[in-house]
Amino acid sequence: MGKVALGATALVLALAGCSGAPEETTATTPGGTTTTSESPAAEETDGTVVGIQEKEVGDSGPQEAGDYLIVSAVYFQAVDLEHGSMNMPPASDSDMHFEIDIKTTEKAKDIGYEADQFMPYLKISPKLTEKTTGKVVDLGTLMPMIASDGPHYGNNISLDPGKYTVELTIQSPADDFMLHTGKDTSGVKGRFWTDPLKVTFDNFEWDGQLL
Amino acid sequence: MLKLFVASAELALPLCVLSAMLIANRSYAPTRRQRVGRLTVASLGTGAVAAVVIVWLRLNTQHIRLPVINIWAGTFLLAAQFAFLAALWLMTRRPLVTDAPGRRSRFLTWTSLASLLLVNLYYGIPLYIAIDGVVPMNGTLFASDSLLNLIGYILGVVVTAFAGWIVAVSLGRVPSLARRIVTTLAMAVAIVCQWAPLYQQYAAVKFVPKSSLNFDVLLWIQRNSVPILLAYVVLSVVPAVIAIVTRRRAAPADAAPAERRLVRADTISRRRFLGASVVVGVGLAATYTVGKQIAEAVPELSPIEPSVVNGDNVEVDVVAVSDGHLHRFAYEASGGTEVRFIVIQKNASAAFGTGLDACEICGPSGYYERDGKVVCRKCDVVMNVQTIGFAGGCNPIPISYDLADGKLLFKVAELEQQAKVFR
Repeated sequence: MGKVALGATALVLALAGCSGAPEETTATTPGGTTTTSESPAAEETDGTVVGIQEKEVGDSGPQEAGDYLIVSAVYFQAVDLEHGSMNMPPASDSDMHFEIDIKTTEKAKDIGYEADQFMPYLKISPKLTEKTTGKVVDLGTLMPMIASDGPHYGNNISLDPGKYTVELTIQSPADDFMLHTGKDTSGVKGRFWTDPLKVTFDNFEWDGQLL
Repeated sequence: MLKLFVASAELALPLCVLSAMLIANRSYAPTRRQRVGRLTVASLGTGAVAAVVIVWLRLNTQHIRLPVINIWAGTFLLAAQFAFLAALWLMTRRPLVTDAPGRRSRFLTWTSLASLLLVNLYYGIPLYIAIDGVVPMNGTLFASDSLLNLIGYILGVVVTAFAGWIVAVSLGRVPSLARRIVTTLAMAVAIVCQWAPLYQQYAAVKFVPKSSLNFDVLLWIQRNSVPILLAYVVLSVVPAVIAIVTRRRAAPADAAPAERRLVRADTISRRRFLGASVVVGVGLAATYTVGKQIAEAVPELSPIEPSVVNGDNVEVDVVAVSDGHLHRFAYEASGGTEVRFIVIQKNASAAFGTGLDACEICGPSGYYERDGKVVCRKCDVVMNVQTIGFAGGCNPIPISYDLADGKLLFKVAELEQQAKVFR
C-alpha cells in the first residue's frame, strides 16, 4: 500500500509539474498582425498555479464588428457559475465554457466609451454550422458574466465534436442602454447601430477532448 | 441513474478490458507468482490512485492542466503498448508460466506492468472525472437523486470490472497464438483511438503541424464511439468462446479418476465463464445501444391545458394549477403563432412561478417535469422552482399575472409581444 501511495504521489507530482508547461495560442489582430501568446484566463499568482488555458474559436482571430467593437471568441474548460436567481448549465454537464470577449475600438469614443473597454447590454447569439453534416447548433443568447480576467459574454455548453463555422449576431444595446444626445458637453455624437452586427469565426475544430 | 450507469460503463470498458489482457499476458516462474502479483497490484493501484488524485486536483484546485497531462500520459502509454506488443510476439509459443523465465519473459512482464499502470492513469482520468456529475446542480450528496446517480456510476464500473475479470481468466485458458491475436486486436483498437486525440494535442502545442486528415480520423472515432465499444465487447467475449472450443474434451482412457474429475471441472468452469461472458456482453451491448438511447432521449412536452381568452386577458383556473406540478398553456397570437407559457405553484404558497415555455439561451425548446423538478428540454438544466419568474439564463422568460376571482390573468398584449420568441 505504501509503495502504491509513493508511486502515485511521484507520478502525480511529475505530471503536475509537466502540466505547468504553457500551451500557445495564436491571435491575429484585425490589422493582420499575428501574435503568439500564452493566454491563461486565471492570472498566474505563483509557480504552482497553471490557470485555465483559453483556446481560440476557429482561426479567424479577433474580428471587427461595426465601428465600435472588436470581438474575440475563445473556449476552455467548463466552469461553475454563481448566478443568483438564474439557472445555468453546470460545469459537470458541459463540454466547455464558450466565451465572447468584447473590446471597444478607438472610434467608440463617439458613443462615450474609452478604447479597450467592455460594452454591456449586448445580446450576442452564436449559431454554429457543422461543415460536413450541415447541422446547425443555436447557442441562444450568451449571458453577461465576469471572471478573473474581466467581464465577457458566455455560457457552459455541450457540443458534438465537429468542424464548425461560428456566426455571431450582435444586437444593439439601444433598447436597454440610453445615450446622452443633448447639445451640451455630456452629449455624444455617435449612435448605436440599428441592424444586428454579424461576425464569423471560421474553422472551429472541436475535438471533444477533456479540457 | 441510468445516465451515470451508461457513462461509467462506457468509460470503464476500455480500461477494464485492456487491464485484463495485460494481466493475462504476464510471464513468470511459479515460485515468483506472489511477487508478480504484488507488483501487478502496485502498478494498477499506482495508476488508479494517480488518476484519482489528478481528477481531484483538476476539480478543486488550479494546479492541473489536463490537456498537457494527457500528452505526457498518452505518449508514455503508447510507447509502453508498442513495447508490450513487441514483447508479446517475441515470446512466440513460449509458455507464460515457466520454471526458467528468460529475458523475453521478463521483458513481457515489465512492459505489461508499465502498460497496466499507464492504462489505469490515462483511461482512469475521464472515468473518475465523470463522478462530478453525480450530484446535480443545487443538490447535495445525500439527496436521493445523488445517491441514485452514485449507485448507477458504481454499478457501471462493477459490471465492466466483472467483464474484465472474465477476460483475464478466459484469456489465460486459450492457446498462445489465439491469446496473442486477441490481445493485439484489442491493443490495436486502443492505439488507434489514442493516437488521433494525442496527435491533436501535439498540434495544439505546435509540436507537430495541424492535420486535417488526423482531425477527420478523430471525428470518425468520436462519432463511432458505440461501434468501437461494441468491438471491445466482442473482444471481451471471444476469449471465453475460444476457451470452450479448445478445451480438453476428455482425459485419456487410462487416466486416474482425479485427472478425469479435473478435466470435467475445467470444462464446467469454462462453460460457466462462457455463459457469464455472453450475459455480460449482451448486457453491455444493450447498455451502449438501447440504454444510451433511453438515457439521452428528449422527453415530449406535456399536452397544452385549457385556458380561456376573455377580453384583454387569458384566464387560467387557480385550482387547476395549485398542485405544485408544472402546467402548460398556450395562446394563439395574431399571425397564428402559438405562444406557450407555464405555471407552477411555489412551495404550497399562494405565489406562482409563471413564464414563457422558452428561455433566452435555449429558445422555445420548452420545459418538462422530472421527479418533481422543472427541467429545460434542450440543455437539461434543472430549475430552482423558487426562481421561476425571475429573468436570465435558462430561466423561463418571465411573464406577469394578476390573481382575481380564483383565476390567474395573463395579459393578451404581453403574450402578443412575446410571440416573437416562438417564431
